[in-house]
Amino acid sequence: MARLARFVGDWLHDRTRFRTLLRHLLEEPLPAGTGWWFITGSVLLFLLGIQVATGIVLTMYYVPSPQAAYDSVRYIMDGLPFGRVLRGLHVFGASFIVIAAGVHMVRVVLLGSYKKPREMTWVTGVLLLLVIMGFALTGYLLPWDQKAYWATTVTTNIARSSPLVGEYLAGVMRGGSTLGALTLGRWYAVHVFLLPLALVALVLSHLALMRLHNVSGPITPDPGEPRPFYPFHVIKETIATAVVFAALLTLAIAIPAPLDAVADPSDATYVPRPEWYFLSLFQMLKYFPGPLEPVATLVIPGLVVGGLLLLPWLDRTEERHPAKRPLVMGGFAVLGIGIVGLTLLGLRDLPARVDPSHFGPRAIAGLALAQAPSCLRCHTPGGAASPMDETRIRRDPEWLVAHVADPEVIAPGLRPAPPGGMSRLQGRAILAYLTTLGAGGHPPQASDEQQRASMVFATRCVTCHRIDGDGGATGPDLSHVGQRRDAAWLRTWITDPSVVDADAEMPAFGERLTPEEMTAIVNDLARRK
Amino acid sequence: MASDTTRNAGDLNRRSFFSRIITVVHGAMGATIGVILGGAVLAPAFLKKKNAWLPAGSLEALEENVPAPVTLRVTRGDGYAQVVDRQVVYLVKTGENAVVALSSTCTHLGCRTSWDPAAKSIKCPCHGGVYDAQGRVTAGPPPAPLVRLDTKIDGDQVLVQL
Repeated sequence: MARLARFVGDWLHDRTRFRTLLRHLLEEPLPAGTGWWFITGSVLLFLLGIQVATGIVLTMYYVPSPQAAYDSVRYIMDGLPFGRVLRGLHVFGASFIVIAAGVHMVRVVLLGSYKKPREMTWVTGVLLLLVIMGFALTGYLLPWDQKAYWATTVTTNIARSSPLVGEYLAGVMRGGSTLGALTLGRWYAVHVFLLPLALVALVLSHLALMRLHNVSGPITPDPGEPRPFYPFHVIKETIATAVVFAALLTLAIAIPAPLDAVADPSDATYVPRPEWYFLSLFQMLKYFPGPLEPVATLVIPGLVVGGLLLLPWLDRTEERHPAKRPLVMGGFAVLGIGIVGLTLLGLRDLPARVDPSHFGPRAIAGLALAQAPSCLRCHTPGGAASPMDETRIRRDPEWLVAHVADPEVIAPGLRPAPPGGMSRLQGRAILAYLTTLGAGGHPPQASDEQQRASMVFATRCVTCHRIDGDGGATGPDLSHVGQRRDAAWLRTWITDPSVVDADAEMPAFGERLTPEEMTAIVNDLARRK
Repeated sequence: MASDTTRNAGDLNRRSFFSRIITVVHGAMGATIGVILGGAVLAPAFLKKKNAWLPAGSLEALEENVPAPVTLRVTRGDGYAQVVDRQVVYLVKTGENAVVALSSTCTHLGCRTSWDPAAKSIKCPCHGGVYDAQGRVTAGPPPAPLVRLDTKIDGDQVLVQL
C-alpha cells in the first residue's frame, strides 16, 4: 500500500512537480517567536471555507423565490438528513466569521502589522471585511421569513434615505419599487456568485501578499532562527481551528438555527431587528432622527471605512509597539467601545422574541378542531386535499378563515359544503394551528382539560385577552395571570365579574360556559405563572 | 530552507510528532464535515418513502376477474415541494373477499396499460405487451407480470398501499 502510494506520488511528481509546490507552501521560514498571536487569520480562513462548503450544499436545496424559499429552508431544517446541522454551521458560522474577522483585525492593529511594506495586505483585508458584511446582509434575506423580509425592508429604506441617489439606489437594491421576487433573485445572485468571486480573489491576494512580505512576526525581533511554517506554526493553527470548529459544531447541533414565521408583507405588528452584527448601526439610527439620518447611515460608517482603508498612511511611523502608538490605539478604543456599546444598547431594546413554532392555546384549539370529520372528509391521504398536518398555508388569512367557515369556497358548486361550517374564531384557531405547524412546531400532547381550556380561550377570551402575544388587547394580558390571581378568584370573576367589581366591563360567562369548561379555563389560567 | 534546525534530532522528533497530530486533527475535522455535507447530499437518494394505505373503492362494486381501473391521488413530498401523483391501479376481484391490486404501468418500458374488455386482457399501447386479468404476461415483450400492490380489506373498502 505504502509502496503503491509512493509510486503514484513519484509518478505524479515527475509530471507535475507538485512536491516542489507543497514544499514552497509549507516550508516557508517564519520569523522566530511567531506565536499564538498569528493564528487568527487561519481560523478565519477555515471558517470561510466552512461557509463555502456548507453554502454549496445549501444551494442544492434552497429555492430563491418568494413562494418556495421559506418552504425550502423549512425542508432543510426539518426534512433533510443533516440539514439542521448544515444550516446551523452556515448561520452560526456567519457570526463566528464576524467575530473572527474582528479578532484578526484587532491583532493586526495591536501589533502594527499593517505598516510598510504591508499596506496592500491591510487594504485587501479591509475589503474582505466589507465583502463579509455583504455576505451577512444578503444572506439573511434568503430564508424569506419575517425577520428576513422586514430587516431587508429597513435596509433598503436606509439606502433610500441617502442624499440625491437614494431613490435610485433603493430601486436597484430591490429591483423595483417593492421588496419581492426580483429582490430575492438579485440578492441571491450577489450572495452565491458575485460575493464568492470577490471573496476568492481577495483571499488569494491577501494570502499572496502575506507570503510576499512574510508575516510581521513579534514586535521586538526574536534573535532565534526562523522556523518553517509546517509543522511548527501549523500545529498551533490546527489546535485553534479545532477548538473553534468544536464550538461551532456544538452550537449547530445544540441549537436549531433561527427561522421565523414565513414573511408576511401585510403584517404590521412585526418589529424588525437586524442580526447582532448590524445592531450597532441600527441602534445609531435612533440618535440621528429625520434629516440627520445620513450622518448615521453614511457619514459615520463612511468615515470608519475610509479611516480603516487609509490607516497605513495615517500611521506611517515604523513604531509597532501599541503603547507607543497612543493615537491609533485611542482611535480603535473609541471605535470598539462605540460598536460594543451601541450593540449592548440595541440588545437591551430587543423586543421579546415570540417563538412562532410554540403551540399556544389558539393553536391547541385549532389542532383539536382540525380533527373534525368535516375536515377529514377531504383532508385525508388520497383525499381531495392534503392531510391537515401536511397542508402548507400559502393563502391569505381571510381566504383560510372563509374556507374553514365554508369549505365550498375553494370550489363553489362542485360539491355540497360539509355540515358544520366553523365560526370565524374557530377558523382563526385552525389558522393558528396551521401557522404554528408551518413554522416547525410539533403538536403537543394536550390533556382533555387543556384542550377544553384552549377551546374556551380561542373562541371566547381571545377577542379581548392575549396569551403569549396572541389575542386582543382590550382586556388584561393573561400570560401570567396565575401570578396575580388564584383559581377561586378567577372562577368568581369569570362567572360574574360584577360580583367583584360593579363597574367591570367584562361580561359574565357563568351561564355561557359548561361546568367542565369553567373548571378547565380556571385551572389553566391559574397555572399561568 | 530551515535545514539547520531540522537537522537537530530533537527538532526532528517534535516535527514528526506535530505532523502526526496535525494529520489526525485535520482528518477528524475533515471526516466530520464530510459526514455532514456528504450526508446532506447523499441521504435523500437513499431515503425510503413512506407508503400510505389509500382507499381505492368498494369491494361490492367489483366484478370477478375484471380489472377495474381506479385513479389514486397520492400526495408525495418532493424535497420542499408537495407533488400530487395520480396513479392508476387495477382492482381485480379474485374470489370472495380477495382482491388483487395491479399497477397499470407496463413492466417493459413503463407505458400506461389499459383494460380491453372485448379481448379480456390488459394491453400496452407501446410495444404490444399483453397481460391477462391477473396481470400475467400472455404476449409481447414484458419481462415480468404487472407489479402487485399490497391490499387489505376494511369492511367494504379496499385499501391499497402505495
